[in-house]
Amino acid sequence: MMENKLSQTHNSQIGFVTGGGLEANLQVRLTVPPQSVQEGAFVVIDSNNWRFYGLVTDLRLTAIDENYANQINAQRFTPQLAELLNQQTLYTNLAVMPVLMMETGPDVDSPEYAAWREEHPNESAPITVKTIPSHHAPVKLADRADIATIFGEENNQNIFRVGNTREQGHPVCLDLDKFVQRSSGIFGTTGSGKSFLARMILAGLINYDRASTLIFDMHNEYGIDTSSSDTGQGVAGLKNKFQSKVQLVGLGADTNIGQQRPDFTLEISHKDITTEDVLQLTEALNLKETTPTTLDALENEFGDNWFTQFMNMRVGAMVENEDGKLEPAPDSVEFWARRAGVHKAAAEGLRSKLTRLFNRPYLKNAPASNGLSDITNALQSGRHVVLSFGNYQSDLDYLLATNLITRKIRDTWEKATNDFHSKKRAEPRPLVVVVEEAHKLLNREMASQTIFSTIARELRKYYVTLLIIDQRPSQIYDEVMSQLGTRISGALGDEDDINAVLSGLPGRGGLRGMLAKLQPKEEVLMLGWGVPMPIPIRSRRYDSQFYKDLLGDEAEAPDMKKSSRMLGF
Amino acid sequence: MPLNYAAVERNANKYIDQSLEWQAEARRLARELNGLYEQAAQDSKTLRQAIEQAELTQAALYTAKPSHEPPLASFPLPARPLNFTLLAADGSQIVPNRHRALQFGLINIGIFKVHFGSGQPPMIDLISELLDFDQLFIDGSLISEDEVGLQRDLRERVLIRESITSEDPRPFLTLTDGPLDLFYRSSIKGEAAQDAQRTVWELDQNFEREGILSAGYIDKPGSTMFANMLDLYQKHIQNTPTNEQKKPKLISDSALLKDRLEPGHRSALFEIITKRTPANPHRLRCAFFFLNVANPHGKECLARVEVPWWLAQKRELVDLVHAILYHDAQTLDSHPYPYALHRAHELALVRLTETEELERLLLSKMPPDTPETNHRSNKDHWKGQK
Amino acid sequence: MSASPKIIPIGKLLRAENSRFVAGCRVKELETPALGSLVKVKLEDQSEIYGLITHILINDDNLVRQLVSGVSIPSEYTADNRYNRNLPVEIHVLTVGYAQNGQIAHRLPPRPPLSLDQLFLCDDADVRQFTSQHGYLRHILRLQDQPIEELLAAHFAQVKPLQTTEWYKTACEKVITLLRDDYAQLTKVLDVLSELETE
Repeated sequence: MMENKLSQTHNSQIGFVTGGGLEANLQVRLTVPPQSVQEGAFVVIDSNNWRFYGLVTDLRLTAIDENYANQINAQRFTPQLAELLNQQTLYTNLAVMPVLMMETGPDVDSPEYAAWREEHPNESAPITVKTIPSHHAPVKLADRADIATIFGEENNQNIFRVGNTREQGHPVCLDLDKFVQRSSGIFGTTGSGKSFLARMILAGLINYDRASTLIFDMHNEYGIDTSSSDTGQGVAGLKNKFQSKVQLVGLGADTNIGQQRPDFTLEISHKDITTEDVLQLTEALNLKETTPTTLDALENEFGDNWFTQFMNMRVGAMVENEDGKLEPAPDSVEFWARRAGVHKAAAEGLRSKLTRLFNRPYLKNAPASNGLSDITNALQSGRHVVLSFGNYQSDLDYLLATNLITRKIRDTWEKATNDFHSKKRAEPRPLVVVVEEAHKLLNREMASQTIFSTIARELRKYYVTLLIIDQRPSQIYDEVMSQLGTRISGALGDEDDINAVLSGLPGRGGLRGMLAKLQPKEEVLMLGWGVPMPIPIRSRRYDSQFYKDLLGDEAEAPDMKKSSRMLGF
Repeated sequence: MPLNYAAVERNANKYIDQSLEWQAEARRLARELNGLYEQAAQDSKTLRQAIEQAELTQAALYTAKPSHEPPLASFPLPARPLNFTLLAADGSQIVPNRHRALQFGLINIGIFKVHFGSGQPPMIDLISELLDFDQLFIDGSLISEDEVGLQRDLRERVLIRESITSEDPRPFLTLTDGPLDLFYRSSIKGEAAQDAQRTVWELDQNFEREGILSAGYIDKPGSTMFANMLDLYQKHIQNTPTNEQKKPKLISDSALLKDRLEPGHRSALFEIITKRTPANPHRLRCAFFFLNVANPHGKECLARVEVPWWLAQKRELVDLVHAILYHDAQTLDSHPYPYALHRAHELALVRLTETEELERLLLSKMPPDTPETNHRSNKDHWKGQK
Repeated sequence: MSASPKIIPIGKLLRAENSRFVAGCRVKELETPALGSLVKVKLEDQSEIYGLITHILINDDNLVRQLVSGVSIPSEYTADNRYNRNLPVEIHVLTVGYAQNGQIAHRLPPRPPLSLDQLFLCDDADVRQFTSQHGYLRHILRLQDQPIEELLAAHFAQVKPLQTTEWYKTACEKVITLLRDDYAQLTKVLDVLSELETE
């Protein structure tokens, strides 16, 4: 916490408060040219020993009399007179959304300070705004110290710099401790720089290293080195920079990730597949309403072997019986259906539809290694996992793999948490599951069923949170969206998407315009529970300088071949 | 208090009737005298004799006497020179007043001198002189208005002389308001008067030597010298004894001259004969003529102009006076009066506020609590005077 | 001060209130003071009342009227009226402040002038001192029966050469502050001031 030297912000006054309030925003009369202040500027207002922190949400030109605005004074009067006239009759009004306030006490050098300090021995901290500044309170642009008070001072650990203020370039940080306490989201249209933003934040998280991350790298963007689609320049991958801390995992035995061999591969045992997992795929596989019944019956009969068993049944298999008549073979679906009391057509239909699933090479009855537990072990021991899908790029693969893996992981963590509470084990290491294309997993239809929505809703009860990366937030179930803690959004064009990003945050109408006007690839808006106050920033560049700053100079790109030798652990 | 208008109105009609009656009578008299006048004019030699005889035989006399010009002659306006100097002087005074807190007297004289033909603004001067305290009393009593007036007239004449320089273009005409001679103030007697008259006489001598012209201008003249003259004439030809007490019927000179002078024309010159006991050795010998100062289309407006006798002898000098005065009076042609005299008067005028201011000034110089000076008479106080 | 102050002799005080007074004076035509001039009056207690000349009326003077309508006036007499004669003039003065014991205030004086001896035309040093603060300008806005802009322009034209450019700027600012709610009036004032500046 900063000392009260803060009471003197170094910046000069840009205006003063003329009206407004908590609900309707504060009205500020600007005393400098309008071009020196932007929408989204972070301002501080001092009033009666309190400092208020707010965001500029609107700028509006006014005149004390319309007539002055409607004539060009410089054409009618001499330049000096026109200038003097304009200064007094034409104004810009700002709308400022107050967000936080902090008791700062009187000026450090003033005689009242000592007395005040005695009454307020504890360091003050910013709290949610509950009152308003007085009329004519001076308004200034926040300086570096103000921003550090609110967002923290960069320490390359939990206080991670995500960008700088747009007006003056002061560093703005994310508190990663808070960031991982709830699920969060990174949004932005395609081409808005979302991937770079995600890479930057993931690098921060990995560096921070108090939580593990599991990244479902659907498009092979994060793990390995790639190149920018715009500039063609090389983009460092997380594996490259963090070496053994990051495990590259490929789905399926033969998967290569680009030119690189993964650290290990993942094959999923049939026994790990539950009927719920299959139900998730209803839409993808076009399953019928009868499916749940059929699946139930299978599970009842075969337990966790149901998948293998069902796979081994044949549709329409017939044998000749003693009578020479054709009857369902014992390994046919029909045979089982009769026995189970399930409608034959339903069962057969299901079996056909599931063929796609059964064919998946990475689903094995008896996989060579237990990939899933490899993953959970890696995560529990403090490593980070990037799962690549290799050649398996369909929605079906994505849905199945992510859901299944995440469920397993969540179960593992649930047990660990329960053990911790009954004091048998240490506190579980927090985990962040990073999912892209979240709208495929978290849309309204699926939301109630997937593990993801459960995780999102459960907060950090079991030490697992999500980091959603998506370009269509409006498609994501709004209950989930409203539970997100930190939201970092690049430019969004769609009104529904904008509303979605803002959902669950009270009174944030002023931010709507800001979201629409962010500079693609340059600017993002941070907001939400995890962020002390909403703020638009120029996002940090993900480049070699970034890694120099984060890791120090010796973290230069090591030999690619060397990293590929790091198999297993 | 406002008037008792009701009572006044009752008398008003009687007043009107009397007034009209008197006017009718005056017109009749005028017609009568006019006849006589014309007769006398034909017979100017006899007329002169009549006057001369009266001069010899009568102790006191106030009459006109024909000069070398025919009595009924009228003379048209001559040309005015391009360059000349006109100096007008007028004065006013503050007379000591026993009702005031302080007794003091002041003479205020304005001098207005123009160089015609130069285009330059006239030179103006204002001389204000507080009378010496010992001048305020004659034989133990406060001096009167007339006495202060005499002092003033004298100072006027002296200051006029002092205002003439050799740089002033000639001809040079000095102009004053009223008769040239001081003796119209008949109440002045004694040494002071004698001294004053001699001074005036000496100044006139001086002027004659230097060729400085002077004139006295009388606006709305009320003189009755012609009536006296004609009375003497009538008595002469009728052989009535001149000391008979029969009072002549008095018609003003202007009435007799009515309609006889065209605008811009002057009448013939006449000598002024004033004689009184005791005789005065320094009596100023003067002549006069009447001048119609009206504009060519205006109503007749007669003024009487007095000039020194020596000036009257020279036709060209009389013409100068005639031309200069007419033009100066025409400057204010709606109500003809010489502009220069008006300005001199304007300069000299002492207003009541200025009197009060002077009193304040003098009082302020007195040490405080001087017993005799600290209040105005109670009578005046109640009149609202400070 | 080297020369003695220029004095306009006053005949009488015609009417006086705290906020304004009218004096009847006789002045030579050439010495008639200008609209917008700063003048002052000494009261009996030695305090001084400052005012701005808002209106000068040349009263009917019989002589002047006669001369104007007369036949032909000699040039000497025209010159006489211009240089010599005191014309009866009514000077209307707007009170803008007062001084007591050398302290200048821009508020209305506690007492109006009750009698007038002399009206002083303020000299340069006096003007500079009185106008060094701009508070007095608000009194000009009280004027009801006259164009404010003309008076302001006349006044500024006289004071500007005696003050800095900074002064003028502040004075304009002050005027704008006082009049900015009256668009019509302010634009008139600024039009006139612009004209003045570009002359």
